[in-house]
Amino acid sequence: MNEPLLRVEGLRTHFFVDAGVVKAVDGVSFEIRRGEIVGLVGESGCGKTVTSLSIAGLIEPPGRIVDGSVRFDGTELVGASERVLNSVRGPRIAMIFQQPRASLDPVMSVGRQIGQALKSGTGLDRSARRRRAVELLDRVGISDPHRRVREYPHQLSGGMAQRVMIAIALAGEPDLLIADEPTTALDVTVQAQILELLRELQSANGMAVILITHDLGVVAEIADRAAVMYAGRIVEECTISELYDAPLHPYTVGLMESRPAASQSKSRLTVIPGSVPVPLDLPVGCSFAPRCAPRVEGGLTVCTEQAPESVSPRDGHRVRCWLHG
Amino acid sequence: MGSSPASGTAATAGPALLEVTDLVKHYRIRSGGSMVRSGPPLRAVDGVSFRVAAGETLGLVGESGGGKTTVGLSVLRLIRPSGGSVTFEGRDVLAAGRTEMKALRQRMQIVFQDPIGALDPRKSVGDSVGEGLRIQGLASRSESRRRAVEALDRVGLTAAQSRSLPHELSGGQLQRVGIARALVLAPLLVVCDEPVSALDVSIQAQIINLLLDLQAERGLAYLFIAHDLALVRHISDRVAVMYLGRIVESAPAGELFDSPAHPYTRALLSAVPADHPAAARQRIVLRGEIPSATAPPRGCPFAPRCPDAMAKCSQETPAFKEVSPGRWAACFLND
Repeated sequence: MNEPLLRVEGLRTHFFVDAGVVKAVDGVSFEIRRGEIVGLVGESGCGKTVTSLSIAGLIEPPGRIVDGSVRFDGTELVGASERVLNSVRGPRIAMIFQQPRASLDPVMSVGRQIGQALKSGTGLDRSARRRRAVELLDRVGISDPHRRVREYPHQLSGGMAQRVMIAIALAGEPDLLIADEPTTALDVTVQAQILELLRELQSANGMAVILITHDLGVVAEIADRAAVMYAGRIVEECTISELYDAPLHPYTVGLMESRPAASQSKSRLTVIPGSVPVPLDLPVGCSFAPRCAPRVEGGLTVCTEQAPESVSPRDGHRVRCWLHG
Repeated sequence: MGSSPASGTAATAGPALLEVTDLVKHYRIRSGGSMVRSGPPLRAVDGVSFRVAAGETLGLVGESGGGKTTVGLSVLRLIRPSGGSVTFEGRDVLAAGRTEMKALRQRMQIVFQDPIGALDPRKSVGDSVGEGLRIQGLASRSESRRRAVEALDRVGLTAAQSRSLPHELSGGQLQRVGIARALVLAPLLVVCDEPVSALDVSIQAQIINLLLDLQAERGLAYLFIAHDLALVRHISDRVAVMYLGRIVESAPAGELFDSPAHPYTRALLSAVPADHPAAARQRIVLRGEIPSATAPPRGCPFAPRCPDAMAKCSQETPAFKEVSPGRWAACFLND
């Protein structure tokens, strides 16, 4: 049981487009233990979604995993056959997305969609699958599940559609749920309900969760640990309390300080200058160097020459930054 | 009655720049394919009153379907309200004729969530920014071009960028263009409808700072519509909370967030993720979801989901009234 459930090492996923090579994920390593919730945090284009699609073996041309390893419960998934991937993906690693309605089949009833997920993993017959579908809808907090099971996606609100997606994901009783911005499209009260549900499922079923989000508040709400991504790499990995109380990487510090809650009302917010680099044209050295104020203040030249390695200045806290190397 | 003409602003806020009274917007829903018949109207906005003073920011919050955007569009008469009145600098916006409306539009501008949808894809952003001046007949072609470049410079874009087409700019840059387009006409009021919710966190802070700077420089008033409550608290002087087409509470920002008087405000605030993982919080989980605006519940619209509802709440509609100086709420619990 000490072996992590998932171990990602040196993952590189690149996209070979006409304009060049987009290094969307460029050396990502992290682990997740059973029953743990890890928040994968970062802004658009940082590689968090490509990381999760790489784990699930869902990268398609022009994208390709060019290097690295994804070990799930002892099985290597990079380069694995479709047969191996299909035995893992769905039943053991499930995914939910930001736009639940876009992931549901508009012309198939909710019950049949859950039934299909059950078909691939269990030996249940049709009526048993229908009963199980009702149970799952009830489990994710949908009232009147006997009626809802016959409904179609357009009859559901956004919050209910996300609950249905979670029910489908739970059908195979997965060990790992990858949730990609699962509450971003939802109202704040519905978001609170969905996060509560995820936390409850994690503690009842011992399911591990990778929660991909740009919202630091959501991470604080339910994650145990956070991994902060910038330009295709994890720049910092730590517990949630360290993220809030003692962040080390200047990018993480900038993100935390730019939250409105961190400044006086009506005063200017602390900003990270500039914008995220274009992935086709990443700077030499540390990708964050051009926006990094501590680098300028400290007069560091190494940052623009050589990319920093990941170091661990404290137990369980990793950072990629020359200021801490 | 819930639609009393009472304003939701403090008496101390000075003369109103914008005064909205009993605003109503109902939509007719047609259903039934070829056998077209009208169902009950969708009550998007159902009796909303508020004031915005010069230089002030009123934050308008609430969940989707609450009617926030409809209020913003009605204020500028970009849609025609079904009832009520909108007064800007003492002039009746809803009764204004063509010429008067043109003049009003100069003083009241809007910034949308999706700036690219508001820009012509085949025109340089500089031309789009200058267009308002030409339409208003305020400047010649060359003069409007010069002033567009000036406005874009103020929001942090270069003269070279003013010649770009919209698709050549990033989301943050496009929102700067959207702000410049509003700014060039020297408005007194800008309706900001979710101006940063499509942007990345680090870019959001840059745009918020720009809005704060412009307000300090030019004394702009904002009607700031957003669902991000931490952001609204930060930028607003006063906040109004909408639920199912009505304002249920309005108060100075700090007071509203620190001691909400309406159960919906309390539930909404309790759902916001914590500022810190160690912050203990008592979450009020609401039952169900926001009801349809075609069949709003009888009595208080929030009663079916309210954890504190009493028998009377599903019979009578609570009046929107001042419960303490500067704070207004529509709830029997405050009686």
